[in-house]
Amino acid sequence: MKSLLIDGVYLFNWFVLVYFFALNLCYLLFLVISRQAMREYNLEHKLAEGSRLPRYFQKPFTILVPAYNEENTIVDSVHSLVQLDYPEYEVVVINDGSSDQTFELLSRAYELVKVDVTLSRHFSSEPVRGIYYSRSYPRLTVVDKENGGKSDAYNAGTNAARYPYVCCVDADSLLSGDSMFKLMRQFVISPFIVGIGGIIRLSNGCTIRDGQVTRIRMPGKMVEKIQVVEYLRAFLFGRLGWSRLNILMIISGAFGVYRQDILRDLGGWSTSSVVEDMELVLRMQKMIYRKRPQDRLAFAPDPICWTQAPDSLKGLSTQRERWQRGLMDTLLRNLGVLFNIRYRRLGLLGYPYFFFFEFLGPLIEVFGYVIVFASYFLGILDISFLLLFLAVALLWGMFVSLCAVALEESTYHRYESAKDLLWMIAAAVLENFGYRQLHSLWRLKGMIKYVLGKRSGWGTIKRTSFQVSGRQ
Amino acid sequence: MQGLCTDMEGYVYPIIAFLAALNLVTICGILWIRLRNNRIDSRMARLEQRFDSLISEARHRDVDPNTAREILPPKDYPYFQRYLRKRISGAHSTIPHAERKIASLSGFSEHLRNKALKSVGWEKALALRSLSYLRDRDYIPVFRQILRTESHLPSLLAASHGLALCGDTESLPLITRKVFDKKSPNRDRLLAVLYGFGTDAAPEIQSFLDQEFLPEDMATVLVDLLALYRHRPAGPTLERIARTTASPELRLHAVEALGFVGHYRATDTLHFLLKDEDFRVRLKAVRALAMLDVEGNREILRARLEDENEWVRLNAAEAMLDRLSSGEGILRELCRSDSGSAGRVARLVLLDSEFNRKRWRYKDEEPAH
Repeated sequence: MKSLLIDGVYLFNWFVLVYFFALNLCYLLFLVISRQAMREYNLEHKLAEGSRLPRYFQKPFTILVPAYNEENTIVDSVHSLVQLDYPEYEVVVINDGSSDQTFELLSRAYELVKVDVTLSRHFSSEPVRGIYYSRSYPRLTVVDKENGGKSDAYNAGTNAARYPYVCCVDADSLLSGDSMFKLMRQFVISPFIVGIGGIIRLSNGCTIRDGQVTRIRMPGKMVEKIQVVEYLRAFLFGRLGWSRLNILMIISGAFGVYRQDILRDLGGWSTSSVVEDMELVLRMQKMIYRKRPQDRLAFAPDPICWTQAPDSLKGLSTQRERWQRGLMDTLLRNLGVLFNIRYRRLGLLGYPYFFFFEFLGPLIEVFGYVIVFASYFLGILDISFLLLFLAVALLWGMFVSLCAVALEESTYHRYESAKDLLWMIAAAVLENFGYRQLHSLWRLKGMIKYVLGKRSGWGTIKRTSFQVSGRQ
Repeated sequence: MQGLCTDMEGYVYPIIAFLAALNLVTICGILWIRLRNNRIDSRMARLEQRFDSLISEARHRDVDPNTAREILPPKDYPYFQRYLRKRISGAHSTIPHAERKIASLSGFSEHLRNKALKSVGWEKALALRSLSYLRDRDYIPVFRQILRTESHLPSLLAASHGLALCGDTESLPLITRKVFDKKSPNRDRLLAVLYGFGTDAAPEIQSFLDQEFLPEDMATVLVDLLALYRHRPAGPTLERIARTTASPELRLHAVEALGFVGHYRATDTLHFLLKDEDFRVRLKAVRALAMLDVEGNREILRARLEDENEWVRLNAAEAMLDRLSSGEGILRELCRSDSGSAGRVARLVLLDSEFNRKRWRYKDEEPAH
């Protein structure tokens, strides 16, 4: 029995070694692709400076803002959205049966008036209680409906959308003034782009005035600082790399634009999914690979959406658990894509990466810690090798995060204070000691919860108002 | 595994040392980038003031070449390049006579010219782009040469910008062919370049469309520009495209353009297109008809209020309200008498009007550069 266990442990060790090299090979690949993509993007930007397209070519769009118990941020967020520098657009806020003051605050701040309008029913949703127009902001519409979840809110909002492009923005997010110009320009570049995402950055610590981020600063708490680096790594490396390979599998729900006719073909957002954004994008990709090979999804690293990140470990763990459940749910719903040659790069590269590294990653990591203890008790643990392996893993993790910081510093250079830069470097180093391991545990918890049946819901985290979160 | 551990120990230490060194180098690199950026920014801020006063002087009186060379020595050329990009890169800026004078006196233009001809890759492209800001017709031969000989797309784009800003409409067909690259989606690049020509390019664009059978994307850009410039003589060309093209995308753009250029004889074609299967074509035809002769097409627009597609219905109702003197009355009557889709869309549009929520009018108000 013991020898069988020992063989099993050795086998697992081999597997971990191969897994580790494969994962880091992927990171290295992203590093190279993203560095090149970013360089070209910025040089092109320099070349195109001064040649802004006339308004004639700007495509109109509808911003959808689903809101559930967002009383702390909703008024400021909507204020930032209704004053974007763009010729033609509208904002549709969907109050998804909030139990707090979300609707009342909106109604007071924007002088809402109930109107007698019948929405189209292209997308099914929970009953709508009323449609409201604003007396003071003609661009604003509020859809008040029964609670049905975020996807349901998106579906109801799209029924109210008057423009052919819909932009999804979280209720705790702010868009920078020119972000929509930059994002919508991509639809002019190519008629084949059917969806596009921009970069998400953290508003924690930033100074916000009149719905706009006026000074970019690092947040105060270490857990927030680490998330700044995490977001840089995820967006500047991951999304840019995937987009370059034309197998983008996530467009963040906090900031993405889609063509409405494609959404109709897909039947809108799935109300039974845990995370609506990834599920929608994966379905979209499947449709592209099957029926519309000329179409594509894209990512632009420049248009910014500022969002609030959890400022406590508890809030962060809730968020990450939900993300992991969502990832698992989406991947398992579309298991047929795995190594399916019909989906070409998506089936052979994109999906397997998410399946083996993002979905199974925490399981393998945590199981690895268990195996270390098992090896110790079986008397086969080579401590020096273990320490060496851990050192390599930690140093490589640090290197990837530091590269994300370097990429940010050499391109956008948004954190002007030297102190903030040093904090970023420190966060890139320190996240490897404790935070990453904790992160794996949260994700594993998410997987367990998924298996136990907890699947849907808004997964809200505690928000603070922008005035409180930003340094004034 | 144990064997492997022993075998690998010899390798793992150097790997750890290498990774640790790599991290240290990366950290130093980040700090170095920050220091360099700060140094560039502070020097730029200082130089900006000097450049401003030099250009202001050149605007009002002659500047001594020695003074120009002293204030703008070769080591500061990269900063002046940045300065020009910031100040005069906009396509709608006036002709930068003072900047051009300073660039010429100091030797900066010659430096850019040499760089544009002798360097490669992005360096060449950025030098050409900077040269384009000056809008100096003396450099048209340089831009043309690049356009004929170069294959690097950014350099082609930069040279095209130069020719467009210098108003060299003769080069328009060559630019269009060279910039357009079927392998990459670059409709916006072509638009941005050709938009630099301004309305003067419209006759050339029209004759280009008349003479050749062009790829869909390329023709779409040209049609859009004719619409933007409200180039009325292009009406027959656009009508021909709308009737005959096999490309649904191009047809959409041509139909929309018919309204913008005010080609009144196109109503028969538009009536025909209102029966198109693609709702987007019907929608554009409704808009075009509303822009051309809304009174004469009142009944046709009214019939579109019953269209099977809600966006077509919405656009027909908006067009009636916006452009037809009796439109509001018709819509109000529909609100009362029709409980179907026409009544619903009439109610929606009247409500939008009450709350000042009208759509798509901005394109009418677009100034034609």
